Amino acid sequence: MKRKDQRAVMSPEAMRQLKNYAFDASITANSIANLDGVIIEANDAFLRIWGYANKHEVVGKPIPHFLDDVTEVAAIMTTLKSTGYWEGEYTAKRKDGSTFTANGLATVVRDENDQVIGYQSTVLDITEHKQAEQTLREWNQTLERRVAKRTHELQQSEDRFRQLADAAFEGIAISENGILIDGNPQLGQIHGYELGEMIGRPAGDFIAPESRKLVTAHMRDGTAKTYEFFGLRKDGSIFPVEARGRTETWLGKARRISALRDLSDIKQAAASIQAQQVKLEQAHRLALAGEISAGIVHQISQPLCSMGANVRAALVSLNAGKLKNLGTLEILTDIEADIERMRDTMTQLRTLAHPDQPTRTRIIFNDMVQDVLRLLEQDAGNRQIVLAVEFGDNLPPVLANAVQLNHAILNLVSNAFDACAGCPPERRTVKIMTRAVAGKSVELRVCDRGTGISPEAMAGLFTPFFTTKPDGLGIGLRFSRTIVAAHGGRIEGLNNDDGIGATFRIILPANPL
Amino acid sequence: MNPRPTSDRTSSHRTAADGQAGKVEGNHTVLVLDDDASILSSLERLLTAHGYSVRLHAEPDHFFRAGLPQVPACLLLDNQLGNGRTGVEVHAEMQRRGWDIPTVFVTAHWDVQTVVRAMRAGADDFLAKPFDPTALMAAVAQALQRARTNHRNGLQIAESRAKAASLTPREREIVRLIVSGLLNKEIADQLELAVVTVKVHRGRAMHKLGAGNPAELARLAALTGITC
Repeated sequence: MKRKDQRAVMSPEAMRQLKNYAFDASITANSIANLDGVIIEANDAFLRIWGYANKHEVVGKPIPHFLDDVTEVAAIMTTLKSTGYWEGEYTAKRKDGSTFTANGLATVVRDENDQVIGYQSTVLDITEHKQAEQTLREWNQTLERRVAKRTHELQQSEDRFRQLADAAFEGIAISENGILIDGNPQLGQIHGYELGEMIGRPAGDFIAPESRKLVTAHMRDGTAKTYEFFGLRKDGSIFPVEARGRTETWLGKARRISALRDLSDIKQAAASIQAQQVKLEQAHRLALAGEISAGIVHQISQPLCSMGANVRAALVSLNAGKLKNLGTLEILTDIEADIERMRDTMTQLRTLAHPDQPTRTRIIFNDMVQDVLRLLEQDAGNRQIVLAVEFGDNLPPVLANAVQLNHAILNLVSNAFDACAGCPPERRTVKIMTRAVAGKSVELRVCDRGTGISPEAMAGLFTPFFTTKPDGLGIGLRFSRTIVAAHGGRIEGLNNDDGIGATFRIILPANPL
Repeated sequence: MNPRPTSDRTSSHRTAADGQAGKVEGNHTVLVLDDDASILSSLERLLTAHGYSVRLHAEPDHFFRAGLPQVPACLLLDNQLGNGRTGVEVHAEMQRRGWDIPTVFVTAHWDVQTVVRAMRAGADDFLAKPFDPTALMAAVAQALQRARTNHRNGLQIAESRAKAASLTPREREIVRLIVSGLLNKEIADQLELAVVTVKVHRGRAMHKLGAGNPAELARLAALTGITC
């Protein structure tokens, strides 16, 4: 059967029952009042909300009975009568006098002739609703307060940050996707801009062309360590920059925060220091040369003088026909000795005055010491000095200039010989030892049992032109020290612990490669 | 190699071996004081080759211990004598001892101050090393010449002194008065002698002193300290 039919079939009685049922069963508080404003019908929900037990307590009562503020009734009735419709809230009064907020809808009831015969109302107790609203409002307020507080704190934090950033000695730059989005005044300052002129521009605008690739790479890789590049100022000049940056995520975006330091001053100071050092070295060398020239006057003049006298003597004697072969031989021998003296001096002085880098080879240390000793064997024999030699094992090779190193070793051994001169036979021994030191260095020790080093001599040991020898030049040890130092090593001279004689050591770094 | 002389010695054996270019006349000695052995050796050869007699010293002590030469002598003196001693000091010591030896400084290390000091102290000459051998020989010749003159003068003075010592007190007195300008008569009056006595004493005194005239007498008197 079709629905239409069903409707058509329902009797008016059945319909009325249905309506009544609906009225009664509704969860909203429904009520009907007559034209006088007296309640004639109310449903269970109405009773329940208004706190009445049964209908009898309600029916026959005027509408104002159910409101807390009777003046509200008038307003409602006026609207209802004029518009036929009212919707709103009012404060309702229960049976026990307590109030609640009612949210109601009232309409006029019309008959089939469209004449108003009464009023009907549907009400919801919205007290809870209202309370919930209140609570919500309160929560809202609390929330707003909290937000306000947080916002304030945030603002303060930002202010602090800004203060800090502005006070920073370094320029701070924040960039996103290669665009400068923020910075501190210093950033502007070091680049010769007002900060505002820089914001929004690509970071590359402030980097010297030759450094752009480097900086881009660092920014892209998120490098955190300090590096240097050249910045570009507004006036087009470039300057050295030390930068440290960090890449951080901020609201899902990658940002680069960098601290930049203008190194111009520092670099200039460093360059100036370097220049001063060079000058100092020059002055030092000149002073040394000055010392040397004073020495030259004496140490070259002597052999030159005696050579001149010898040659003249020879000439005069030859002219007089009075020079014999033996005499000639003696003169020439003496002249040659003087020439050698001068030659030695020149060699030493030249290297002392202008230490440059002569060729270096890998030296087997023990072999070199052996060679030097072979040279001095005869001399030792002549001077009745006993040589004791002890070569260490596994000495690493040394990178050195053979001639120079030879000289230094020769100097030490020769000095040791001289120290023994004039001592009783049992003290005329020189012990030579080599050894490896911790695999990183080689050490040569030359130990004599001679006269030892006096306190004055100790003070002047490596001073130019200090000598305790009658025909000494006084530059041997100094020169040896220069050589050894140039090879990265050191020379030391100390009196022996038992008080007899002294020991000189050369220590050189190994170069095992 | 030629062994270097480390102590002072005379040159006699050397000159014999080489022969000389011609011996320098008259007694003399050239002293050399230098701590450098090769300098001593070469100077010895050079001086000997020119016919000089040489006395070598490497140490000031040896030099002074050897004593003042009794013949005309000159000295070649280095300024750096080792152990901080200087030629200038040695020269001062010589003067203190009354050793009047013409000195030629020969030194490698010199400055204006040193030269001035040496010359003021009475050095005869100053040569820098290395010297031109000709200049050295010239300096030696000059110095030795002066030495000879001094020597001669010294001998003369000694001689005169000896003569003055032989005067009698009376003769001495009369010489004094003559030199002060008095005439014989005035002297006679003063000394209450006869004029002829004065004349006799005067003649004897002049003869003893070897003075030929009053001027010479005055000079000799002053020289020998009679008139003091």
